[in-house]
Amino acid sequence: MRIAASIVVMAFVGLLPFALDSYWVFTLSEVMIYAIATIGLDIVFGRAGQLSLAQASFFGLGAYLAALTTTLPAGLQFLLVVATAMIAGAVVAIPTLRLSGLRLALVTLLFGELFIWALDHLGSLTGGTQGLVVPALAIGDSNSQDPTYGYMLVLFFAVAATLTAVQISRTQFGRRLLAVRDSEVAARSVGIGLVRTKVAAFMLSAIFAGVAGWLYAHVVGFVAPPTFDLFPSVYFLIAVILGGAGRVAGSWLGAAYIVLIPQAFSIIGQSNLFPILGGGVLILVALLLPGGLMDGATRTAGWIRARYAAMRQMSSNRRPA
Amino acid sequence: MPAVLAVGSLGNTLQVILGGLATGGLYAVLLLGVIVVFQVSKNVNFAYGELGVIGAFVGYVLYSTLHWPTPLALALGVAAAVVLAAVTDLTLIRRIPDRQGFDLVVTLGALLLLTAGTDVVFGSADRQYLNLFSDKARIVGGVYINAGDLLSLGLGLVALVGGHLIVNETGLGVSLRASAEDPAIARSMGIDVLSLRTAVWAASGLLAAVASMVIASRLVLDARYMTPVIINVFIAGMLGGLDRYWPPMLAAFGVGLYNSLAGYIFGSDASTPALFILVLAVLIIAPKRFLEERHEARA
Amino acid sequence: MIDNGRRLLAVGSILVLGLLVACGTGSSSGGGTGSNANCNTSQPTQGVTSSQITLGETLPLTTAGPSPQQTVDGSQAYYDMINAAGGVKGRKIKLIARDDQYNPSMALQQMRNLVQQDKIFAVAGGQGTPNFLAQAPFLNTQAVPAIAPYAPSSELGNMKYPHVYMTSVNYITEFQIMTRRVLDNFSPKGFGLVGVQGNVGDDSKQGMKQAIGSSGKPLLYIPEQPGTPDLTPIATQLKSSGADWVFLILTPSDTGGLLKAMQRIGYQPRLAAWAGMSDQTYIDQFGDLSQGMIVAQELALPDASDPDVQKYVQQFTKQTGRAPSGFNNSLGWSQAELTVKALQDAPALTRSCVEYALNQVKDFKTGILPPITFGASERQGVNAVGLVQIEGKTVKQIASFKSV
Repeated sequence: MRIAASIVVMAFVGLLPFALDSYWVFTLSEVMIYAIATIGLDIVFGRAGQLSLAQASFFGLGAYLAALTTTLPAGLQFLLVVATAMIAGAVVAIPTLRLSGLRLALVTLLFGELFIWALDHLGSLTGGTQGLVVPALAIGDSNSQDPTYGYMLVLFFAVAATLTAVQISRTQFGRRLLAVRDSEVAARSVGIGLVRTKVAAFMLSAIFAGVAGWLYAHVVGFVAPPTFDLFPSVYFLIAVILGGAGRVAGSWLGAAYIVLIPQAFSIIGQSNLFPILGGGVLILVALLLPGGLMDGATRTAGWIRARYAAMRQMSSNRRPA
Repeated sequence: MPAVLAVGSLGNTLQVILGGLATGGLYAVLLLGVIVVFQVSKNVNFAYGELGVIGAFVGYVLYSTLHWPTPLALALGVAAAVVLAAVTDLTLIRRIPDRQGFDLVVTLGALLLLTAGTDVVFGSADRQYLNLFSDKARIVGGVYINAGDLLSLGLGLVALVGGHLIVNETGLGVSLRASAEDPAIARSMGIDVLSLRTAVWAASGLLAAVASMVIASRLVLDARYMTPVIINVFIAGMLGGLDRYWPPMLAAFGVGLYNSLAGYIFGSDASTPALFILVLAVLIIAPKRFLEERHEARA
Repeated sequence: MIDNGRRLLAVGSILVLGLLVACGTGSSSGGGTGSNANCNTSQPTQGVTSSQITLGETLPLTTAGPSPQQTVDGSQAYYDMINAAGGVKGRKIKLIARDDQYNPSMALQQMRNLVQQDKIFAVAGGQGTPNFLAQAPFLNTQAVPAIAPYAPSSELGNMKYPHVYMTSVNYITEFQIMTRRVLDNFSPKGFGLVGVQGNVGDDSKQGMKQAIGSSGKPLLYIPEQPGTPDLTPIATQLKSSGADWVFLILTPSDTGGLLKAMQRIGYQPRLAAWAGMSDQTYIDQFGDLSQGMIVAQELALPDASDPDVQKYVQQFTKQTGRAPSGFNNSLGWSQAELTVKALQDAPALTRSCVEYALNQVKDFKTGILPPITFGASERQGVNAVGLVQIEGKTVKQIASFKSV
């Protein structure tokens, strides 16, 4: 049953780009790209409980690597992104091992600021504040900046990232992450290596973000510092929190929120209203859905199912309560 | 030339130190509001600076457009921020779901909403604010001792000492700490925890408005001028620890001074790496005891 | 991590394998074709119906003060005038202005919206350099002509972006002309330059260096991070360098903040600044701190006696019921004026034919910009700036348009 459902969903998702116009195909690719990075942040924040504001920096690292290594074969680029992201994750994690909560957030934020500063100041390499054009990645006889091909490329990685994250939650490592989040003292007492677990969580989350950034660069075709600064990092965090921390599907919903809400304003022809009302929408969603988007979606589904069941029951046999 | 430069550079360095301490004093005023709010409600309010911006703007409209007397205009501006801060607590903070990170999301939403609202209501042009004495100076040994700098520094010292007296030496401070330690016990002692919290939020609005007005007089007034300032205030708070008093308050002065000196010596655009190095150094070198938070932040 | 490492490794290697198969190797350039000297009257087109031509632009409408909206208003006033007189080739012009928040990726996103959702025919106008630079490669791949975006940059105005027709000078040119003027007339002792760090500041520095050349005058360049909370260090650095002329290319708010910091430490050099500082909104607020400031002038002053300028002011006033309010109204008007000329001159309403018409533009006088000239491989239509000076609550012309 589950497998059949998965196949139906996959077929639907795979056929979507042939049913939508190129603009929406591109937008969906963006949702998937942001979902990959959000899933990564969920590993370090949602599960291991480490508040990180550097996710957009890891994302940017992957994106800039893509922009700077366009002459390399794609497979090699990918390995390079993974390796660099791992190192970057460790570089952020190791000096901050003793920190937690807001202090940790602050230091990861400063790592992000330093990353942007470096981008701005290495102008001859990074294009500085003006950013860099990223040539499209050849895929067969088309390329990554063709919306449909870009979509397929991103879909492949999004599925892989989702499966990996689901797999992680079933492993010992996944349970160790939760233990570290719930109580470091208790985790240590049952023999969990805090250092190893935290560093691994950071490294994994950086890899997810780095790969997402790498895809972003190839699909969008342009990288510039503001895409990777403090605000996007905050938005990734919002995506995790709003989606429902610790749940992969929540990360998807959160990513969809941050990409699609601005689009929703655009559809009703009021794109200039988003910066004005975006904050209000955020407040409303947080207050009205205290369990996050995931919980809201589950409850909506449950409500529909209950309604459906009630209706069926009412029509079939009426029994006194 | 080199000899003149040497003498000149001492005067110039003192000039930068004065400017840095003045900025740090304003950071301290702002940080006091952050600390008391954190101690009583365990929240960090990201919209905090924007409350001050709105206070400064209300003052501006009253004295500049409606030509009300300046002291009255500024007082009403402060009052507006006080009311807005209390309303923020009553309408938003009390309703925040008790889940990790939701206070961050809600106050961030408030920041975005208030910033955009400021643009819409007051217009998005940059305005020049009142001088607040910054056009009056006395030259001592080549250093311009500016009345505006002295005002900022003085406000910072008042906040430092006054905050200490209130938080650590009065009955109000005891109630504050009691409700922070354990709201249930505080309630059983007859403390109205919720009202106290709203009052503390209102007080933080006052501090934000006063500091924002003086900062507007040093920079400009628009919907966003407080954002970089608030980031530095939070950095000082994190360095010292929001659950303590003296370390963060002194860090506020320190961050202001350090930033200005680093900017003067290494150039303005080196301030980001300079700050990064400072924070990393402090947090790596600091003893473990210092880093342990007495109360885990919710965010 | 260790016990489950093998599983993760397996997933990882599947990832890599899939990638290698899917992508092949190497990369291809998605760039557009270079020359567009020919008018293809049967080229498939979008955004043109029998009654309407749809144009688009993006500007930082919500994050950069009121100025960008004034630019849109200026353009709209011109299109309203043209539409009231019957439009272009019997079609009314519709302008869609989208907010890009001065953010490059948002700008690219909004340009996709314009081209793929709103189905615009061409880009007309726009404002802001980093946001436009993010769109330029996309416009290349889509071969959408962009007419007169206000995006001063040494990157644009050449055949790297053959569909972009520039009417704003870059900051190298602007600061070179201003510095030369100061050298020729005021015998300065030393120069200071405070610029937004990055390409904008670097271009300005390069222009000043070119003008200073071998004259041996010192130049202290201080790159500034927008939103610096204490500007005393910069003011003090300038003061101690002994610069008696300080050039500024900062946001209006940081310009105001820096001038206040200079006032606090009793430092009063002569000032020169980029063209944006001649805007009335800035002068109304910070005029008292900016007396005597020399400002580069990219657009003619509305009170100039030139008949083309007078014609513009009359038309604008008649159309809107008020006089143009300075830089941004004029900018928008001039962008619309060039766009309408290109549409009118085009042999047919296809993109290639509009570009063909743009290539023929020679010494076109808008009454606002210096005369515009494009060519088969010339995309920088304007190379001249004039100079004005802030006096009282207004600006006064001190040098007419001059090219490098």
